[in-house]
Amino acid sequence: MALSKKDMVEMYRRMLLVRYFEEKVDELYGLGKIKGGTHLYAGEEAVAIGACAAIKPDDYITSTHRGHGHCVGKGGDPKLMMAELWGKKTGYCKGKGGSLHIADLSSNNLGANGIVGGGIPIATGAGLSIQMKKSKQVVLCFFGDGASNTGSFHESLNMGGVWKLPVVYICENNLYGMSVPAARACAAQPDIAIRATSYGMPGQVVDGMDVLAVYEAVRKAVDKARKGSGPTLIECKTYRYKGHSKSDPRAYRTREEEAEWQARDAILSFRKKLVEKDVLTEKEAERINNEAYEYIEASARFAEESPYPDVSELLEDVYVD
Amino acid sequence: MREITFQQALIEAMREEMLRDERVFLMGEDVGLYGGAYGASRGLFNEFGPERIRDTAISEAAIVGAGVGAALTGMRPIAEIMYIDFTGIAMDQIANQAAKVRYMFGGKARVPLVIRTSCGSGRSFAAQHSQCLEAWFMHVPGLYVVMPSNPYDAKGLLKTCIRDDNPVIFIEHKMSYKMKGQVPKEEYLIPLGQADVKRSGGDVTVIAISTMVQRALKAAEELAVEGIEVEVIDPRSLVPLDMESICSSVKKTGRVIVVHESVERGGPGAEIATRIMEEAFDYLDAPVKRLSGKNCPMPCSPVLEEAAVPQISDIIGAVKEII
Amino acid sequence: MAHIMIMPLLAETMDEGTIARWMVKEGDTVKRGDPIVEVETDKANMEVVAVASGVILKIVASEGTTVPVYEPIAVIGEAGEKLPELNTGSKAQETAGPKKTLKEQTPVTLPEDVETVVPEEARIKISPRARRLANDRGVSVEVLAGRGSGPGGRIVERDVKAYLLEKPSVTPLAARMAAVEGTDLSGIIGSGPGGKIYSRDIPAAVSASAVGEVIKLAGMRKIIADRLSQSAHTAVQVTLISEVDMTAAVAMRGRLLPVVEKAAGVRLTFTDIIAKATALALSEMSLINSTFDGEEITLHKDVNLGVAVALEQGLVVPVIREADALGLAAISASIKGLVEKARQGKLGAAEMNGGTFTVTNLGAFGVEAFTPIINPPQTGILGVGAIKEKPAVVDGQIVSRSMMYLSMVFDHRVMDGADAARFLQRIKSLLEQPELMLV
Repeated sequence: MALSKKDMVEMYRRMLLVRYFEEKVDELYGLGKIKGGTHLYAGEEAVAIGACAAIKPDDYITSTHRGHGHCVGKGGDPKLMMAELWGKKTGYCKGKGGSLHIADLSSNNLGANGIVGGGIPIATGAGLSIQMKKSKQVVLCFFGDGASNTGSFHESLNMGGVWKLPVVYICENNLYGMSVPAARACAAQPDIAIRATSYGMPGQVVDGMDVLAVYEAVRKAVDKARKGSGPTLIECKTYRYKGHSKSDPRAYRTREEEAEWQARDAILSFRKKLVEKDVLTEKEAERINNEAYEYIEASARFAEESPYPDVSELLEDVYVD
Repeated sequence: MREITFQQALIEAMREEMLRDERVFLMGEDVGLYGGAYGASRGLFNEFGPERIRDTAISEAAIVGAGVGAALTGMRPIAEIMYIDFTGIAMDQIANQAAKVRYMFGGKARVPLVIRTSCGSGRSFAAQHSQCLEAWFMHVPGLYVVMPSNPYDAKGLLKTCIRDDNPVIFIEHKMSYKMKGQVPKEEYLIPLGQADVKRSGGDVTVIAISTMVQRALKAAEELAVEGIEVEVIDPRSLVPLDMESICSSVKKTGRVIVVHESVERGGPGAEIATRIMEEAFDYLDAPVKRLSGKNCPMPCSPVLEEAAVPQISDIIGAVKEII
Repeated sequence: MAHIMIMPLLAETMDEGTIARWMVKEGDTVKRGDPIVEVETDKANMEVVAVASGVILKIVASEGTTVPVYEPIAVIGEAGEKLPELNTGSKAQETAGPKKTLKEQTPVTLPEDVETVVPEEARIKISPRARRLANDRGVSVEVLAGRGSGPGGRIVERDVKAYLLEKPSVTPLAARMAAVEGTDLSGIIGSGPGGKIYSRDIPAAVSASAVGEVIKLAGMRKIIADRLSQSAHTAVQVTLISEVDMTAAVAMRGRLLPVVEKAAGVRLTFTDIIAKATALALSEMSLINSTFDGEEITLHKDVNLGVAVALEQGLVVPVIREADALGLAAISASIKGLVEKARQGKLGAAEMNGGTFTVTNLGAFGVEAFTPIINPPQTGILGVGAIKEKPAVVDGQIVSRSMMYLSMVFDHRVMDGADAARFLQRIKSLLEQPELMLV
């Protein structure tokens, strides 16, 4: 499946939506309008958008605490996402989940997860379900370098490997687990992908700042999974521009390092490539950029104007009646 | 009516539900050819094969977590955790994922997952293989907690749990598996949240959980000889809890003892006693009494093990104490 | 349009921030996202970026100033634009000054009030259930002190009941009525405050004392007697009275006396005939032939009729099983047999249990009408008065007839007046036209 021009423009648009969404969230959080834990995806857009471009609408994903990018990648509407972060009734989870649990079941997004590594067994189970139903779907399982050191990672990849489940395990290595550099947390260096050998699956390292490279690697792994040849572990080297969360002063890394990564910004470099390849003119690229910005502004207005849930909803949805 | 064991009742329940609904499957450690650590899946592997009776690695978090994922995406898994003591390893998946997914996602997800596990003392297995930990799960909104006390209840409740769209912890006492009891051949279901009055009596209400039900019934027999009539109530499910039945018994007798094997501190008796005081205070003629496991890890020595959990004589003593 | 820059929330735990350094000055042009000020929080120094592009129109908070979160620190807008009104100043404080002035603590002296502390030994321990009963009966908790038989000397329900039983206080009218009836009032709990016995309690007392005897004969425990009397107080008892013309029944009894004597060797009584009529009516109206436990009404297929019989020792209520299926001779023989056993003290509990309705006849004592008390868990009782010759109007003529009062007491929780009235009317028909019993 080669990417059409339309596909690539859509990828560019979604990367912009993620970036502006995160910047707006940052701003709104500073204004005290949005509360709760917010972990921003800015800088890592190429991973979610590139990977999600390689699957079909009825394929599944599981996401992480840094999940806004995956949600947009899977086709989520920033309006409903923003409303969810704002705790409004119109949000994806009726205001009950917030940033940490943003999920859109209708698009087979099995949700963000507040627990590091929490989504990996769930993705594995979704893969088991697909295999038993013979439904030819696949699962993209996103997690970070931090999660790769949890027991869940080991148990799940082992299970996925034993049963040859149709899951693509995508490690977003953004170099820091909160403040601890991956180099000081992961025993095997420099790559997490080499651990794939232990689980009887191929492992691959990809430039996570290059959306087309991510797309290409995930596409191959997805094809393999769909054919019943089992899972793959893909490690995307990437960088989060903001702190781990809002209270992170980023004392553990230098401003120079940040500048180096920002110089390789995934969105800007993709835009440059699209113009060079005549997929877009400068003018069209700028128009898409402005539209994305405006859409996020409109999303924030939508969320702000939306009603909060009624307190009577507090005890609803605990159980299926 | 025919008699079968608790273990056979569980096998029948799973077998019937697997025949009825192809989405139902069982996974866990040694549930396949071996037939489960307590034989509660014996024969199912031969009938349904390795796809639906699925041996796993020793990976409790992945067993439950894969169950959550499969349940979220349309299957109806039964995950067996060999001992409830091992649920700690899977606790994130049970308490943070299975229980919460529906609520966090605004009611748009359902997790039809049954986690079957064994509990209890009686085999000198000591501290890490003998616990009753139902209280851990009662504390987590989003989970149902079911503890059958005989083969009839085990079958009817397990079938209901498999059909329910909520995650359920189904706790089987390890001393129950060989217990025989009358179970009809015909299909039946027992709804969750419906306590069973195992014996009627007007003097004292004894609310007993799991194997304590049998002990309470024996105690009641002995007390009846002395003219003391004990009403024995088995809640069967702790979440949801049938307070209506409990309170109507309390209104009759005015005296209550809650008996369970799990340790006293923060145990199910604390919850039940509190709710009785909230809902039937004016009918109490004595403080609600708890009779439960001692606040210590389960010891190995048979002598100590017996001393750690309520015995028939303890129940008799407690009844006489409050009458 | 001017944008007001505020002190942003930079960390979950942040309440205020101190301006460490401005990287711009008033009049400088900035772009949205440019870092313009460094803020010191309790955690670290952090850069804050411009929220909009434009010119720094005003720096509100100078370096070293501590500003609460969400308070203005600067204004960005177009050159020459008028400044918006700012809500500021009051809340921003120089870091140097004391942040809060603690109010001087004045030691508070509490008035000594020994009365509020009840010494442990003076506290009366009483269970909620016992307290409820005591309150219902107007018994003060203080008079119960020292009577507790529960664990730790707690007063429990049985202690309140025992107190009520020991202390029958009686109204003068009730005492006179009891004397006339020859009823011993000890052991009776009245319906008045503190269990005081009122005149309305006397008819019930006759029956209630009977229940006490029955229990003694059966060797049953006192705790059950307590329960029965408690149940009797919970039923909502209503009485219907109807006068019955017994002339035809009197005649029939005359004709049947020798027949029954020959068949069963017993003397046919009016009680037997009334029992037969009652049993038939009960078999037709299952709502009356019922028991009630407070939650569920049980309709019984078998008519097990209790017949209260006066003995020297008191009243006993033996039960005739399936009375509706028995003929008059069999009923008569059954009652006489049970009475004889009772007289010898050999009546077992099984012969007094399981009744579905009771008939009680005080006619032999000349009582014309009375209101008996329901024998729980039954839901009705029929009181039979004396048969007396009275003038009555028949076909426009005043003639002498044998008249008798029947009182039907029923539990209004279970049935309505019309149900009981139909039942009473049916018995009246059966007795006034005894041949109907053959149909």
